[in-house]
Amino acid sequence: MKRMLCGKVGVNSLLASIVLLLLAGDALAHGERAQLASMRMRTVHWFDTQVTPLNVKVGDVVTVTGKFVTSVWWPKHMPSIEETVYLNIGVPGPTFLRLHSEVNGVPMMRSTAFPLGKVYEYTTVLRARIAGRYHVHPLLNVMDAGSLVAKGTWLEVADNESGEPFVNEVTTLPGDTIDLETYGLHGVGGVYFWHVLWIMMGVGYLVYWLATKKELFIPRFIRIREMGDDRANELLTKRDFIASSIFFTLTLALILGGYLWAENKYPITIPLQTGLVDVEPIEIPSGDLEVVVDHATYELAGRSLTMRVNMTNHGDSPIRIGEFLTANIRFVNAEVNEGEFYEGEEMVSMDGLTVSVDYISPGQSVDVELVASDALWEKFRMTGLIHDPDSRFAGLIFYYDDAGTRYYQEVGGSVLPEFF
Amino acid sequence: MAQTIAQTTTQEAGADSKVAGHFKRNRFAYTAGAFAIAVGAALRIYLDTMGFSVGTDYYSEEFQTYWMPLLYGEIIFMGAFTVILSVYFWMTREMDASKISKELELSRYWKLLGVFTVMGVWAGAIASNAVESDAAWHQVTIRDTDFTPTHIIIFYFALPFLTAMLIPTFIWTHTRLPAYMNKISLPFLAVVVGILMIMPNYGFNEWGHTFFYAEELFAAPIHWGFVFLGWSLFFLVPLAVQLFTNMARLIAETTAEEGDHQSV
Amino acid sequence: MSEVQAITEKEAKARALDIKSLDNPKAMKLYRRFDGILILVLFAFITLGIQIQFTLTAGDWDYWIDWRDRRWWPLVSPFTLLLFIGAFTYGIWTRLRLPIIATAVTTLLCLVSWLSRYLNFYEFTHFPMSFTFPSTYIGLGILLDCTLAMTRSLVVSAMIGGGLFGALVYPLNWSFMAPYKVPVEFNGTLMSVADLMGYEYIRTTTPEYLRIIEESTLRTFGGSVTPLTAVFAGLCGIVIYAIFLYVGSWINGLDKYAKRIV
Repeated sequence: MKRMLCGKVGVNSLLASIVLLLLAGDALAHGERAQLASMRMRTVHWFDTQVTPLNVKVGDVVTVTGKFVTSVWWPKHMPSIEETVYLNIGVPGPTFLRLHSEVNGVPMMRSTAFPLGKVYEYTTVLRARIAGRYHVHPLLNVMDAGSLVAKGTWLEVADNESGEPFVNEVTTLPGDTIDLETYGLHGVGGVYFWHVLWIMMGVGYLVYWLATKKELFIPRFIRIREMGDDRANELLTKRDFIASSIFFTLTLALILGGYLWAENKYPITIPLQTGLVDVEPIEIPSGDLEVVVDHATYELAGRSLTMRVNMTNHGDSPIRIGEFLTANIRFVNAEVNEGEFYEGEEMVSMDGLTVSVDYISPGQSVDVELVASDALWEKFRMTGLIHDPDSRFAGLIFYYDDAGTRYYQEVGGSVLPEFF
Repeated sequence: MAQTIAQTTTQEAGADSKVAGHFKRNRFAYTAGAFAIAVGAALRIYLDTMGFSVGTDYYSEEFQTYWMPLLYGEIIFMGAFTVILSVYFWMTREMDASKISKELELSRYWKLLGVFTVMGVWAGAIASNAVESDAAWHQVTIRDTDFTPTHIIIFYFALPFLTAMLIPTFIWTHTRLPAYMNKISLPFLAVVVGILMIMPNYGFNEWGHTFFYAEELFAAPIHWGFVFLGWSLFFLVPLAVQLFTNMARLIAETTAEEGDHQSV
Repeated sequence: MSEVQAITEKEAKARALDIKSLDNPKAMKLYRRFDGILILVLFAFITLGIQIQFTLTAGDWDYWIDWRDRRWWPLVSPFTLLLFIGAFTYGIWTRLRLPIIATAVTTLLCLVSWLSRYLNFYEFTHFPMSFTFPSTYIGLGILLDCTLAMTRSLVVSAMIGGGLFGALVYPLNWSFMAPYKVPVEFNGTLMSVADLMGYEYIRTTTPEYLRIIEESTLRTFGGSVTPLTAVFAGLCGIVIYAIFLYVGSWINGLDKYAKRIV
């Protein structure tokens, strides 16, 4: 069996590698491009997403960190993140083990709720379990709404040379150390034991009725039709009665015996645990900049979003606009040259943002034109904005004071298309 | 009623009557069954290799290269299979039931059972391979469009192919077996229509997902349409009863005649 | 002589011949051959039918060990199984007097679930079998079929067997499910082993909150949720089984032919 398995896995991985060789590029998205553009812009703004390290072996630990802001422009038709939400990780299933996850310092084994317009810092610690190349996305499952996905980062997991089977050991409260990979399956009284026993019982019963009778379907049908309903029960013999009562008694005894045996072997058990936990949100570190969106247009042909905003600097340091972030795409103002970029980071348009005003001096109130322009709009199907029933946008503006301190705040509003 | 018609119209107990012939292995069932298993296994290997590598994003070039042609191929193949076989069986239908000998009729019942066996093999493959592959897929990926790899295999091929086999079989049965000629078997019709309706029901399912686009609760009410349509399989029991009645009579008659021939 | 009588006479003659054929070894051989094919076809379609129905009504509870709670899983599973069993049992019992459907359905479901979990959850998506092994209902099927075989009455078997089928889900599975309910401490939180597996083995789009499991503490009955669920599941079992026996009786009467499709 084991050899067959290896063979199949071998063939599959060979085919997979041939396929990968044939491919021109990598698949850059995993379903999120099918989500409505306006929904991606107006739900959760993910940033500072970092996955380290990017090359690991099976058994190694990977840390995913980042922040997100919950949008105050949250679509009304969509169930809100203020109800129930779960911090998850978008990898193809248990290719990784999740060792730890937290938001603002609170462990996230359970679901929670996030008020809108706040910042949350998350950390997820993973342990590589299956070798492969994965696009790791942090994600939030919002009840009745679905998965809201951050951008992905490619992560290479190589096989462990030692070739030893993956084990995942934990110690229970009664004090036993168990391997969750195979826990409860083997041995007398394990899952395999009981299932084989019950399948034998079921097959045995069916064999009795279907294989030990001289006459089966058509003959019985003919006889019953001849005898009529009143006498048809005569077809059931004394032997049938005895066999049935033996099966009945044996089954009841097995159920009861198995139950008592397990109760005796595992005296301490608890029900499944659930319930919501609370997370204290963090206020958005917006500086003393007041931003009022006048209007925004989207140029279909030019793949650009133009925002006309009025900005007033109430602080005492000049401010420069460094970046616009929406739907996981970073439009960076190359002239400002601030902001961190992470290894393996995708969806960054390095000179995607042009700002009509270089500095906003203290006390100054000025009309600013921000143009976020890049082919990424097209690539990530943001052009679909025109097909949404609620044509509004939202995003984060990142700006810096003289000392290089980063501030950000959310902007949003209606957006009009420009066709030519 | 049906049985009497069958009885009165099968006058010839021809000299070709050979009960022994009915014990022959049904070659059709073996070859077509093996073919069905091979196709199922091939699709499974394709899903295993190409599912997660190039199948997670409908809007990617790789998906359009490796998955959409498979979908178009499946639809063209199934459409052609159903239409060509159905039209052929109808055009070549028997006009005169009385010309069909009991021997030939009985052998056609075995053929019908052979076809059902192949469908059974296919049904078993769907049950063990396909149904929960979609469940497993959706638990670990983010739902994008209706055309996910598992849908391309189950929704657009495995289940509809049951219909593609059932419709020509329904027509063949009603044009070749005297007991079914010039009338319609209600349970057979119910099975065919029930399974056929699974396809239009995708509409309900996917429409529902435009609301709850990614909550992967399998027991969700938008899935219960499939459950209800699956109940059309309950009609297999009355359909089996029709087969009991018809085949019992034919076997009784042919074997009795055989006996008479020998005794003479 | 009216036409109807003529038909009846012919039918009677034919039926006499049918009965006679039961003494004819050649005919019996052919009947035997038919048995083999029918078992294969019927069982294959029952497998498909129950797999589709179970996966779309109770599948979530059966896929994951951290869904098998004390309140919903023991209620939903027998409900959906008995519904399917009831409809088939009526026809097979009245026409053939074979008390096999409950055992067949539960055994086939168990077999196909193992194959399917192995192929789809273990091979395809890498979950460990210890997290996604199926539950078993075979014992319940045997109990239901045996009550039918012993009492020879659909009604009495519905009352006794249907009730036992609903009530004994939890004890039957507890023999191998108990180890997964052993407590663990994780990040200062109490979890069962099953909860921990649900947390560690990532399910991208099956978040923790999606689980339909017992949530609140009981305010009364001393917290005895398992036996109370069992009794209610027994009641549901009896009712749904009886209703679908009736559906089965209706469907069983439809072994007819129509002149045309209306």
